[in-house]
Amino acid sequence: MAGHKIKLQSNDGDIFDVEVEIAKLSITIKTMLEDLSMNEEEIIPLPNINSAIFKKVIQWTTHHKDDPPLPPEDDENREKNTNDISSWDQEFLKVDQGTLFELILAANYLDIKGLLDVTCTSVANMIKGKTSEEIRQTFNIKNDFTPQEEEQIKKENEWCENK
Amino acid sequence: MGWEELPTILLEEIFSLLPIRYRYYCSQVCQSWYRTFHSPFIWQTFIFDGNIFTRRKFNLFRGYERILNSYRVQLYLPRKSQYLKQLIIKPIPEYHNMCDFLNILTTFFHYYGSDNYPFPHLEEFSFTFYVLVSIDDDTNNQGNIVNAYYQHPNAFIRGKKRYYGTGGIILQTLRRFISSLHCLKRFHLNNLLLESDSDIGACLNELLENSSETLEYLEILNYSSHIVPLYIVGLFSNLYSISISSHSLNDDVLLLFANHLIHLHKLNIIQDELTIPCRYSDSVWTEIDIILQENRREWYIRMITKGKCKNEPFWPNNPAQVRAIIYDTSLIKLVQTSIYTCMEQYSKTLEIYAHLKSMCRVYIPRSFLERGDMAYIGLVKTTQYLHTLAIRERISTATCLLIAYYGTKHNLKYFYLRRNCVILRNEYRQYIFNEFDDNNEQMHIWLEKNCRQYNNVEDAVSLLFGRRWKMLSDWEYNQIHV
Repeated sequence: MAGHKIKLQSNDGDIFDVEVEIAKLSITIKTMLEDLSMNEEEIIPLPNINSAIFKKVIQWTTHHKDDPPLPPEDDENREKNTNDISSWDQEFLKVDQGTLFELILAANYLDIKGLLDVTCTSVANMIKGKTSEEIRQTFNIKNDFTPQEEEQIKKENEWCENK
Repeated sequence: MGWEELPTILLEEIFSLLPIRYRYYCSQVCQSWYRTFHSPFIWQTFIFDGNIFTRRKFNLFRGYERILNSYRVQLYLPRKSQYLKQLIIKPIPEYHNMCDFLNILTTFFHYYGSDNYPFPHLEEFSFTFYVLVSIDDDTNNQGNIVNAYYQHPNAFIRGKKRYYGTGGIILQTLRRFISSLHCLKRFHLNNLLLESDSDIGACLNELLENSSETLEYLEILNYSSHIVPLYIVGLFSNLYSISISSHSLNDDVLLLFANHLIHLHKLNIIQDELTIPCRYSDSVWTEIDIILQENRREWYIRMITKGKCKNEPFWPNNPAQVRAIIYDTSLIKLVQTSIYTCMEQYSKTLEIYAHLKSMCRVYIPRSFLERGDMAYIGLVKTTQYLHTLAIRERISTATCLLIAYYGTKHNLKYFYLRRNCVILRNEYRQYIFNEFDDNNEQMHIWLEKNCRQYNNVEDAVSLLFGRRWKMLSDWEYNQIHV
């Protein structure tokens, strides 16, 4: 079962040999392989992902390929939990915010739910405890409000804040 | 491309993970984040956890305490509550805040009136009462407990512990609130521990008035502090799933479910430290089986033990369609006899057998015959529909191999094993695991070859399952849910 490989090409031209089992953690690739019945010698292009990010994605999927398959989830009793990131994932996500951003986009494009969950959770955890100015600094976002708008927005939702 | 251009759908995902205060800070970051702040998706769930919309206030007698800021709740409701899908009230000891919050909501409903229902999307309401516990240390003075009982008629006494359920004003507030809810699909009402008979039916009557047709999922645990069968549950005619304490059921209630609830599929019988274990008559399961077969229906019964419960449940008799046995507690140790009972009773139906939550690390060494090894092997051999098995207590590598060997002959798909509980050993030279055909030399060679190293075991089991299989660390084991 192991060893069977397919070729995936990132947008800067590098070709990666990836085990089918690992590649199939991405629902996007899985659908491509199954529905389009692509030839296994063919190179699958991934136009939205560069090599550096794809390497990270492969690193994550390789580590998580043996994860126990979760039985289908009930929609009863599910609550969002923000703190549950395994220590390996925490280590894995110690990257600059630019890489984290691209990882989220890649996880979304490739449709890897597990990776999307941990990256989003990680971003949420980064936001917690920060003021808006600190959030802007952390994620390198430009303030595109006029001072009047800013004042208005601040007032509009003041009820959210503890006073 | 930067964070301000993150697709809205992903930003919504992140925002919904944040407490309201940080959503507010995010809204001031940039235009696109501000727009996401107003997207309905992130306001679907509201959890009242005792912190939200409160402020700390110093009280001369009790020190700091949290007080609900009703002004903020009143600002929140007209702005975002129309998106609400799921309203969750967590168990909090500050009853006054909880009541204030419920009262504001009720007033809000009344203000809009029934023609203009303010929560058009609300589907789910969940309420769990915070049960106060006091411990009686005075073992010599048993009369003390009895006296205490007369002083606090609302107390529910078990062993040395006294549990205080709800009643009075809190219950009135809750009833008033529930009576203003319409067309719910899912409803959870836990740990009310009602004591007085006049209160029985509270909340459920109100729910029945406005949601009797729409309700699909009902969880009602520890509704009363003594044995009270809840016939009223059988009146929600479209229920698909019921989670209920064993002391809220009896033979007649079960028959009512079988006769009246034609959509019922999942029945979770749940037991925790507040539940009184109850036994139902053997014949009732036969009767139910006949009714279900006549109507070509099936029940998916799950026996769940959770919380601080230390007792095994009473097992319903064959032909009860028990599909899952789940111990969601670290306090109950594996009991061989209970596995053997399950083998005997549910060999035709059982699909899940799981001990969740890893246990504390202090082990009492047990000899092979006291451990669960043989029982587990017997279980996978006899229950042919078993697809999920989670083991957290000591077994040997050889047992693990044999479980996978017999499990894959039937339907075993999800085999969770806590690595810390597995010891490198093969006892099957000494003990016979099968009287019949498989007890041959080849099998022993296979066991002997693979049982000496964890890697070899994982490889051998992977080969049997046809996909990569590994044992789980404690962290991973605690993440599994079935």
